[in-house]
Amino acid sequence: MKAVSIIITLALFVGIAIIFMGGSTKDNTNMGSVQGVEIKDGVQYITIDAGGGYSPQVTEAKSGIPTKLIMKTNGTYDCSASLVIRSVGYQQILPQTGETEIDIGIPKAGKPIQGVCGMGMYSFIINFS
Amino acid sequence: MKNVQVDLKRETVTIETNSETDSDQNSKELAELLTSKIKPNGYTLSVEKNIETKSDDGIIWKALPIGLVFLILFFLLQKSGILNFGIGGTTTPTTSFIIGLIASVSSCLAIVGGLVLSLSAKISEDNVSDTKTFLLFHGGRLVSFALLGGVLGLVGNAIGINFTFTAILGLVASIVMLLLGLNLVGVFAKNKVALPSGIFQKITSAFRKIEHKTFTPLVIGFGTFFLPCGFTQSMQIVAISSGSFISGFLIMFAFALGTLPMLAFLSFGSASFAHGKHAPLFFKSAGVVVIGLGLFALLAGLAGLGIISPLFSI
Repeated sequence: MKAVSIIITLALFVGIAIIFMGGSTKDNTNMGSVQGVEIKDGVQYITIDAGGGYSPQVTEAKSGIPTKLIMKTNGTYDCSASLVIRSVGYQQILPQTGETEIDIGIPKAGKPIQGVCGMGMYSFIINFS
Repeated sequence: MKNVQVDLKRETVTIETNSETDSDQNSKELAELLTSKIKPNGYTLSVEKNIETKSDDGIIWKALPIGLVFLILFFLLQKSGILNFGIGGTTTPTTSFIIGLIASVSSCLAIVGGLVLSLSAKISEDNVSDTKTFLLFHGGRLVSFALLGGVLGLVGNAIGINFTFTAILGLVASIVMLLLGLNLVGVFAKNKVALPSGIFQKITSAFRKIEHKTFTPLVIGFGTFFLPCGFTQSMQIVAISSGSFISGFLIMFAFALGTLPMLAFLSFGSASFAHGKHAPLFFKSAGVVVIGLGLFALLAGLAGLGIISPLFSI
């Protein structure tokens, strides 16, 4: 009885590890908006959807040009609405529906910018090269 | 009394006496007499061995898989994305009620639900008048959400939406959960020797005192308004922009009402299990769940504060 329980317990631990380590299934299943990086009039715009997490979770962008982050929300009430970007000192609760523009200055190469939701269970990262 | 020997491992005390009439009756009386003297230090003495300690072994091996299954179901639910549908349009009390229902099974459950579960199980375990305590907690929660929502609508300003403050409160809550979880599982119970005026004993007795008061459940219910939960914070923003006391009041009240079924289930469910046949199994399983949720909330909270980098994105 005890041996069986120990085996089941170990199997369940592995299950939890898979849940946490496994890639997110939410990537690319966002709310149908154009995602990614766009350069317009010398300004780089990076769009990220917020709602049940952030998507895309990893973005590759260019360094050395003025960059703005556009956070898109669409009926978002969960944690991803409360956004913290520590490196630029941003702490705000995004409007439930709409677009929020955040100026992140001129990013340097190799210095990624990370956004976390207030409770810390959702995050996204933007790498600059 | 000639000689006294204590065997901690077997939890026995051997007492040699000068008494001529050594009978069963006599030793029972002696045990009772001695118990009355050592009870304040947290010991009891009896002729028959306490059965409680015997049946304890092995339960943890049932409780661990049960607790882990609940944790897996919870994390799978979060990962599935079922809860992530957007709610469009303006927020009315009806939509805030629905948002409350969603919030009560979302990742906020990890912190608010985990705290409610751990406190409820602990209160039921300590045989405090649990129904009254739970009613005060849930009542206090509903009333303070409504009133604070009203104030937000009236003032139109962000009280309680200070990120660092809520994050630190969340860390405190997750540490409380971890301690109570370990306590429920029975890690601390292994300390058979009571330290005279030990710090832990002081904490325990302080906690006992707190439980009895009417005030504490009300304050904890009030405090859940400030616990880190994205849904609560979004609703606070809605209440702020609602522009009047009544609308802020209604929105936050409806939201709290939406979270009530799940939280009430957790506390009253704990109580009914705690008084049932499988109480020891329930306490240990609940302890496993609470430790898991506490760890999750702690790691996430540290990431939210920027102390550690986010370990997961669930």
